[in-house]
Amino acid sequence: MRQEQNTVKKNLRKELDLIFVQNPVLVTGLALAPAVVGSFTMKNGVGLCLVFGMVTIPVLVLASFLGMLPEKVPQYVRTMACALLAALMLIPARMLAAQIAPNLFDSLGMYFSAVALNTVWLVRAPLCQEKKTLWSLWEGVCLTVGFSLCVMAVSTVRELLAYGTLWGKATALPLKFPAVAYVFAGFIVVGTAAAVLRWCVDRCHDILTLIRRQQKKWRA
Amino acid sequence: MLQYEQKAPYVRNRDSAFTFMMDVVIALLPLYFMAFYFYGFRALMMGLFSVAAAVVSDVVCLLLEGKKPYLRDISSVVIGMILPLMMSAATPYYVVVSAEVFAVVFVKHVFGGVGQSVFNPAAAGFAFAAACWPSQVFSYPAPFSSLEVFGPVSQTLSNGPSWNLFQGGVPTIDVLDLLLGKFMGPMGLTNILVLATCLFYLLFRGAIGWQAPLSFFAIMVTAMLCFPRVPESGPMSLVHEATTGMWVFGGIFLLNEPGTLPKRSSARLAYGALAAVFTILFQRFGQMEQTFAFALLLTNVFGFTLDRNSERLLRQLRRAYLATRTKHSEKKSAQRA
Repeated sequence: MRQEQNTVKKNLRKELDLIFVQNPVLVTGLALAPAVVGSFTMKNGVGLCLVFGMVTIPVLVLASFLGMLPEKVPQYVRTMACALLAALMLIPARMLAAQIAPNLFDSLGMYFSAVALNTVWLVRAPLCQEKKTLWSLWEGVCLTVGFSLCVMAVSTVRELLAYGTLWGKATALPLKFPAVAYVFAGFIVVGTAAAVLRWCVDRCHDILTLIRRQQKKWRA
Repeated sequence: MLQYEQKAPYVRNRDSAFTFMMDVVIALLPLYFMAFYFYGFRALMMGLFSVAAAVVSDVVCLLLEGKKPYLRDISSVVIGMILPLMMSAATPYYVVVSAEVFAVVFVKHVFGGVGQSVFNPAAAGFAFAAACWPSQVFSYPAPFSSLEVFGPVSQTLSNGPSWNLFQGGVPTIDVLDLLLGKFMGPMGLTNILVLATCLFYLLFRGAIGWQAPLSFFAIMVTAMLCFPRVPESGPMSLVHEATTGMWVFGGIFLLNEPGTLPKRSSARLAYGALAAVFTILFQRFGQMEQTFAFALLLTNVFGFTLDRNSERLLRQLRRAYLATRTKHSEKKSAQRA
């Protein structure tokens, strides 16, 4: 019983790592194209997160169901089924996006549809075939949260620097850098965010190690 | 045998990287003198602010990397001196400082510091400023207008002759004024005679190689003479393009930046030629009046590939030559026998 509990805890921690320590964009480098190109305003960022979540979570759940199929079914058929579902999920995603912000679909352009074939589910779906449905669902949620955190941070910084606004509302920032809305600046901002995350994770790791050592000393 | 990986600049004579960079600084001083002559103290202040921003951001980056600032490394001073010369003398100081910080932090240090950067920091800084604030960077005051040293400039600013060329028109400036640099333009780019002197000085001192400038200027001059951008004679087109464009300044100071320049002579020749081709294409199909910086950034990407492929090509040629020589000597010895 305790062993089972420990396994669940381990798995839970492993999946939670997908939010920060193994962030799909900033650490693993997956789904970089939409995160770099599409996220230049906060509204675009929210749209990307929405589409990403609506595509990735159902696809990973489907992948776990596909894992139950006999081994005779080749991998490419499973991937094609996942891609089909991802493309289908764009329809409700667009309807929902129209409810949140009417211009979201137009402002995202091709990146709205490009999210359907993002590298996150292309990499994770084969792994999810060996997992239970609930764990796949949890993984999808964690990946979406990790992606959303990155995209929202990047889009907030870019909108603030490029247009001096936040969610379209003017701020008191005196200086604007319109070039930050361009793609090259997206790479720079994502790269900087990756460096900052790595630094934070390293420092947290150092602090935790120090605390553990101190605890050991006190116990001794 | 111990082998050490040496960083660029690859200086092969007794001069050090410091003396090489000091030569570039000395070559830039006359351009600052001319900018001071035409635009007053504001030109010098721009240079001062730029150098200060470059040095401060360089030191901060070095400290963050856990390295000690090295006093004899004056590469940031060179970047700081080059960048304002490509801009209008009326450019606000915050534009110069922002471009400088971008160049040093995101282009020089992100790729590993001196000799490691993939892109030319000064060109990247200028491209950043041109993309962010095109109206401030490309609006020029008239020469000999007394510009305010601090605060916004009250003089009327307008587009330079490079804008006329970009729009397909012919600038109506006297040829003597063009040669003397007495027209509206970037503060360090209009003095073609001073630039030519700088080129000869740097070549004479060995601070830059002859290969990249030779192929670059040969192709540029041929293109300007044979295919003018505007309806005028070839020689006049060359005078207009050379005096108003950034490519002469860039061909001397930016193209020969040791960190991005290939090591081999053949690769340098190809590099200069490629830069010229990209410059011409950007001039014809670009969206800005001064496009050399963008063309150079694109050329920088091919620097390493050119070096590697030229080495491979030379090795193959050497092998082929040795093989034919061996065959020839074998034949001769067989004939003798």
